[in-house]
Amino acid sequence: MKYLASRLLRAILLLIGVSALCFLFMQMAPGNFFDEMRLNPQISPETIAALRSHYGLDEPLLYRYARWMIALFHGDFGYSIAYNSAVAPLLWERAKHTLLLTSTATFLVWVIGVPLGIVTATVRGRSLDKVVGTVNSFFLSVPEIVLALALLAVAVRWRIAPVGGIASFGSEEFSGWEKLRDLASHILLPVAILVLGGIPIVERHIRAGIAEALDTPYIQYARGLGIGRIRLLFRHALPLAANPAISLFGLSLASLLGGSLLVEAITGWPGLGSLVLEATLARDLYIVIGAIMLSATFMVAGNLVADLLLLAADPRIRAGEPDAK
Amino acid sequence: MAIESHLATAADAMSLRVRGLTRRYSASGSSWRKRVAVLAADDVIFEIPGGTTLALVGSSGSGKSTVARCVVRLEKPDAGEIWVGDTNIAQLGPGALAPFRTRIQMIFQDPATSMNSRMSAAEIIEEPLLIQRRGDRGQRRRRVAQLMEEVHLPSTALDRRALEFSGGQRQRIAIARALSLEPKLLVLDEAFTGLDFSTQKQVATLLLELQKAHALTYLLISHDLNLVARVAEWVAVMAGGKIVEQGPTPQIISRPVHKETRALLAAAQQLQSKRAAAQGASR
Repeated sequence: MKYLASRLLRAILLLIGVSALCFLFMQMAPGNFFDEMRLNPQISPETIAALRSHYGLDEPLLYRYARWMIALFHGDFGYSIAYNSAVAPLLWERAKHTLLLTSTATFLVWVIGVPLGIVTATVRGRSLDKVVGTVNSFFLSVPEIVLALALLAVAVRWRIAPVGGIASFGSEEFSGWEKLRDLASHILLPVAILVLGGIPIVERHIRAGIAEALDTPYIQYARGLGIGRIRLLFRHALPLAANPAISLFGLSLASLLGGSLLVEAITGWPGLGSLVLEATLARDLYIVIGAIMLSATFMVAGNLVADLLLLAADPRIRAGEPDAK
Repeated sequence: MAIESHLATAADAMSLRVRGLTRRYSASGSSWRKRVAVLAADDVIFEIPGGTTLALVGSSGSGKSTVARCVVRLEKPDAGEIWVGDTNIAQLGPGALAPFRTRIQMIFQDPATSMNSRMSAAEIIEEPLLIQRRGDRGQRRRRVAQLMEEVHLPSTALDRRALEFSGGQRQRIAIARALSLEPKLLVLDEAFTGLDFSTQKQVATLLLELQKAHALTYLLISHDLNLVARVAEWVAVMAGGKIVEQGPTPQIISRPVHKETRALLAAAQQLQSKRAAAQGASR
């Protein structure tokens, strides 16, 4: 309980720090939302000053930050100048799409990556291990943007999947099953990019962990007792390799909101990515800060979940032993 | 089924005979390059009469650990025979090998990595009994307490985790774990390496006590001839995967023939003088 309380306190302090830095950096960035209006001779400097004053942009940074923090406690993320609307519903609408994409991709990455890592660890040095290792090295070395553009080109050239959006035009008329198929076809491309980039990381981690565990004298001893291969692997080796995998899983959860921004922007998926990109370019302050705060909250929560899972899985951590890893 | 230990007589002792043991490894420089065979054990022959100790000595890479791993059948030899009592276990399949898994046990160099550091001492010692499905929970706990006493560890330490013990105490836990299934042959793979001199002596004395009480046969893998002289009746010297010299310990130590044996003896003498100098300085 004390452990959980200290972690929560640390998480809250971290989020306060992130929000303060966000405000500071947005203030330091050159230009603001109304700068484009200055180029228009029909809009007078007085009008622009009045607009700045209306949206509170002329107030001191500390005052704006304090006001935003108070509003945040009431669930108010601020106001978008570009969309002329409250930020919270805007973010939530896009965050739902992002979470749909990233949770699907994360699920597939772990469902495929973990068994693949276990298998390659047990057949180290054999053909299957070498083939998987080579393919993984390729996907690890290709930048995500290149992979995304390549798959985008393939999808367009051979009409494998529709590009952009979350649903086809007129999909409101579809039945439940047709809507699901339509969604699946739209999500296919961004999910494929995220999955191809994610599997090698999970597979490498699991393979390395299991391979190291299988080489320990402890496992050699268990083998010497004539224990079966499957039991040896799942009852003895897997728990030894669990801690790094749990930490990685925490990172996967942590990047659910922030890890797909580039892929969303390239494939036209209507998630947070494109919204944040537009808002950053337009200096729409509260959308950017709201999105970063949401992403940071997921980051903190993912790490907290990993810490709690490690606590549950490893008695050495419960005992506070420093060399528990 | 009762799992309490009993004192053994010399008639219970089990001999080990190794004939023409050969083990090759394939190695390669890179993942796609053609693999090359490395002969780690080459026509190895030795014998340990029941209830005695043979030390297999040699420098690093001489093949002694490969022989040890083949004897406990962690690895299958490519050729040769391993006679445990009157059964050749060299080529036995998993099913036929099962009864021998409990009769031959191995103690590793680093007790910390040979145990699951998440487990308590009691769980570590109980684990082989659980794997082999011996006794009920109460019987197993009694056996664990008995084994702790036998290796001179306080029964109050049962719930402490492996990492909370010193190196010597961990090695005692490893010995207790190995004894839990009442083996007849113990393979001690560099089991004294990493322990300080006085702890080495204590563990060696304990092993000799246990050998007498349980009629145990020891195959001791070591590179320290000082230690070997104290605990082993027989010595076999390995170099390049082959046994180059073997015989009774006093004979090998007083009249070494092979240059590898002479080199090991010189190293042992050097180590002993260093220890003597260190002891003199500490007085």
